[in-house]
Amino acid sequence: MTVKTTGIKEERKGLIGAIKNSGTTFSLVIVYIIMCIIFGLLSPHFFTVNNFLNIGIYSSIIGVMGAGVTVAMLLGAMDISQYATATLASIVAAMLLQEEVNLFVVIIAAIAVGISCGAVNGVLVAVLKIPAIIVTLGTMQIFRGIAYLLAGGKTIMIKNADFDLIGKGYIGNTIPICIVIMVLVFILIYYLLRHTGFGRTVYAVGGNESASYLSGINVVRVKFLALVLCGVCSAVAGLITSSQVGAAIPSNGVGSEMGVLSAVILGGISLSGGKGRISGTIIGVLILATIQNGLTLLSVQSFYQMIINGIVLILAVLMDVIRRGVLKKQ
Amino acid sequence: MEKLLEMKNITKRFPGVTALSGVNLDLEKGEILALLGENGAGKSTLMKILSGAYVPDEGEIYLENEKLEPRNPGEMIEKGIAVMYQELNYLDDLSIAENIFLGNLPIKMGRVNYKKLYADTQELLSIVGLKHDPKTEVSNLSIAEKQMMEIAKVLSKKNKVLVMDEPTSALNEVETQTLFKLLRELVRDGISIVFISHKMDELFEISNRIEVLRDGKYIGTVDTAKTNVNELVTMMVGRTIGDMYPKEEIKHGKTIMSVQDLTGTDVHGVSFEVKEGEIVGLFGLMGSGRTEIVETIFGKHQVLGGSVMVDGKQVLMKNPQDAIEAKIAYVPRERKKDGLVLSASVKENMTYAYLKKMRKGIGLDTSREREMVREWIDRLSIKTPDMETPVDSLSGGNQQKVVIAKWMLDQPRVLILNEPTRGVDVGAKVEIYKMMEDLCKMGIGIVMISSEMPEIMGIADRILVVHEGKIAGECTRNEFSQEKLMFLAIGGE
Repeated sequence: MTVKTTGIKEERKGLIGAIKNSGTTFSLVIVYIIMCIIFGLLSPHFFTVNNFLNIGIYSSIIGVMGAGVTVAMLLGAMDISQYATATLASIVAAMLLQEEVNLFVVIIAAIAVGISCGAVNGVLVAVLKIPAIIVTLGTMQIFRGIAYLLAGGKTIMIKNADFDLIGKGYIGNTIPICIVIMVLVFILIYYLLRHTGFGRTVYAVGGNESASYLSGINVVRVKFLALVLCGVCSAVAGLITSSQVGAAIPSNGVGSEMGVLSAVILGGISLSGGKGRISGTIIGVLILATIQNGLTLLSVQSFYQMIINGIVLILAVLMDVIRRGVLKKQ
Repeated sequence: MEKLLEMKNITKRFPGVTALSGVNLDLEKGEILALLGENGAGKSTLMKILSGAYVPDEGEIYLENEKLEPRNPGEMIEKGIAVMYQELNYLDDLSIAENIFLGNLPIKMGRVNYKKLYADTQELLSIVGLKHDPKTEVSNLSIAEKQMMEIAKVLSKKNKVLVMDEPTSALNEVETQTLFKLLRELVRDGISIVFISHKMDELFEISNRIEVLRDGKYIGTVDTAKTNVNELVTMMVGRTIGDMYPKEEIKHGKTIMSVQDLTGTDVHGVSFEVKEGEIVGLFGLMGSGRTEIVETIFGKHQVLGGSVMVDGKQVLMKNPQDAIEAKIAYVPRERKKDGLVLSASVKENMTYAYLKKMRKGIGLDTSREREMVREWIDRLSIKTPDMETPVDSLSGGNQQKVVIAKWMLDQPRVLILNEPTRGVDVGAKVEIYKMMEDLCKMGIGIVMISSEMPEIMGIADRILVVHEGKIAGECTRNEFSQEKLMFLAIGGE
C-alpha cells in the first residue's frame, strides 16, 4: 500500500525540518546568503560591486560548462571530458588566430570543435551504449592528447584585441561580456529544458528510459544531442578561458575536471538523472565561485580552499540525503 | 482451535493519514487466513507491523499469548514470524544455498561449512520441490522458482507464521497450483499462513477464513466456505458493484490491424486480425510469448519475418516510433518500469507520446496541452488533485489510466493492453473495463493480454490462446470455457 500524503506536507521544526521542507534551490540560496554574510563580516572588500563582478567573471567558465553538463546529467550521463574539449577548442582557436583568420570564423571553428567532441561522446554513449563516465574518461585523454599534439606541447599566445573582449571586455564599461555570455547560456538552457519538447524528453529519458522509449521518444537522439550541447558549452568556455588568459594552454584545467561536476551536484541535479533544475546549477556555481573569492580575499592558502570545496560538496549532498529522507527510519 | 497470533486494536498513523485504525487480526494454528482489501485498504501496513518494520501507535500483538513489542524486523524473525513481500528479496549473483542461508551460514572453525550448507539446502529444496543444484546461481531461476526458494528460506528457520503478500501475482496457473500444494503441506505441519491476494478464485481455493479491510478499518472476518464473491466485494468496496464485466453489444466494423505470419524472438508465425470496436484477448501462461508478440508488433523487439498492416498500410516496425506513427498504442505490463516516468507530473506523462504534435515555434503549445490533458483527465475520470501532481502519488488504478490517456491524445486505431488491471483494485478494474468498452464504441480495436481467466472471458469478444510463441487456438465468445483455454494454453492438441 502506498500512503497517500498528497497535498499534506509534514510540518517539522528545527534545522533538519527546515532543510526537509524546502526546495533544493531555496535551501541553497539560504546557504549562499549566510556564506556571503560571513565573508562580508570577515572582509571589508567582500560587499563591493567590483568584487561581485569578479565572482561573476570567475563563475563564467564553470557556469557555461555547468549549464551544458546539467542537460547531460539530467539524462544520467556524466561528462568529464569538458575541460579537455574546452582546451582543444581554444588551441584550435589560438592557432587560427595566429594565421590571422577572421575572428568570426575562429569562433565558429572553435564551436565546431566542441560539436565534434560532443558528437564523438554522443555516438559512444547514445548509439554504442557505453556508460558516459567511461566514455568521457577515455575521450578526456584523447582530446587532451590531440590538444598537446596540435600545440606541440607549448602554450600558444594570443594577440588579438577583439578576441580579448570575450573574456576581458565590458559592455558600457560596467558589465563584463563573459558574464553576459554566461547569462545568455543559462537562459538558453533554461528555455530548452522548461519550454521545449526536447527539454521534456530530457527529463523523461533521465527519469525512465524504458518508458520513454515505449512512448516513442527517440532516446538515442536525445542523448546524442545532450552530449553535443555539452561539447558546445565546453568550447564556449574554452574561448572565454583563453581570452581571459591571453593564451591557449594545453594543460588548462588538468585536475579541475571535477569542479564543474561539483557545482552541478551541489545544485541538486540527481546523479541518476531525471531530477534537478538549471537554477540549482546557477546557485551551485555561484557558491563555489564565492567560496573561492572569499577565501582569496581572506588570504587563505589555496590548499585550504581545496579542502573547503570538498567539505562543501559533501555537505550539499548530505543535505540532499536528509531531504529525501533516506536517513529517516520507518 | 488454538489461537496462535492475535493483533488487537492496531492503529498506525502517518503524517496526514491514518493508515490503520483499530484493526484486529487473529490467526489460528494450522490455518490459512486470507487478507482482502482494495489497494490502500491497509493490508501492507498491517503486514509491515507484523514484520516489525513499522511500530504501531496503538494496539497489542500476542504470539502464543506472549505480548510482543517489536522494535525492528530482526525481533519478529527471531520469534518465528516470516514475511514474504511481493517484491522478492534475493541476490541474483549468489547461489541458491547462499541465498537461503544468507546471514545464517553454517560456520565451522571460522569458515563457511559448504558441505553442510549444500546438504541442508538440498533437503529444503526437496521439500519445496525445486529440482536445482544448491550451487545454481539464482539468476538462472524463473520467478516461480525464486518464490519456492524464498519459501525454502522460510523453512530454514523454525517459523510459526508465514505471511505472503500477493505471492501468485507473477505465477501462472500451473505454478500457482504447485505453490498451493506446498502451502497445504506447510499447514499440515503446523505452520499458519496469512495470505494476501487480489484474486478471488484463489482465496476460495486456498483459505480457511477471509478477513476484509477497507480504508484502514477492520470490516469483518468470514468463513471461506460460507461466503461468496458478491459478499466479499461488497465488504471490500462498501457498496454493491453492479456488474464486474460491463460487456456491451458493440458492432464490429472493418478490419483495422492484420498481423501476417509475424516471426521474431520467441514469436513463431503469428497471424490474427483486429476489427473496429473489437476486443481480442490474448491468453497464455507466463513465458508463452504473449508479451513478445505484442512487443514485436510495437517495434520493441526485432522482426524476423511477416508483416503488420494497419488500415491497409504496412507498419515498418523498426522501433516503437513506427508503430506509434501507424496509430498503434501499447500499455505495457510493468506500469512503473515501462509505462510511467514516476518523477514527472501527470501532465508530462500524458503528453510524452504526443510532444511532436504539440510544437509551437521552437517551444510547446502549453495552452493546447493543458486543454487536452484536462479533457482526458475528465473523460477517463482520473483522480488527481491537479495535472501537475507527480504521477508517483496516484493510486495504481489512476496511474494505469494515465498510461492509457497518454495514447488517447493522438486517437490510436489499435490499443494493446498488457495486463491492464494488474495491481489495480476492484473498483478501478471495473472502471478500466468500462473505459475499454467506451473506446470500442469510438471504433478503436483492442488487443488485451490477461492472465486472469475470469477477466479475459468477461471482457473479450474473441480469445487467442498463445503457446510457445504460436497461436494455439481461438475461441469465440460462445465457446469460452476455462477448461478449453487451459487445455490450449498448456499445449493440448
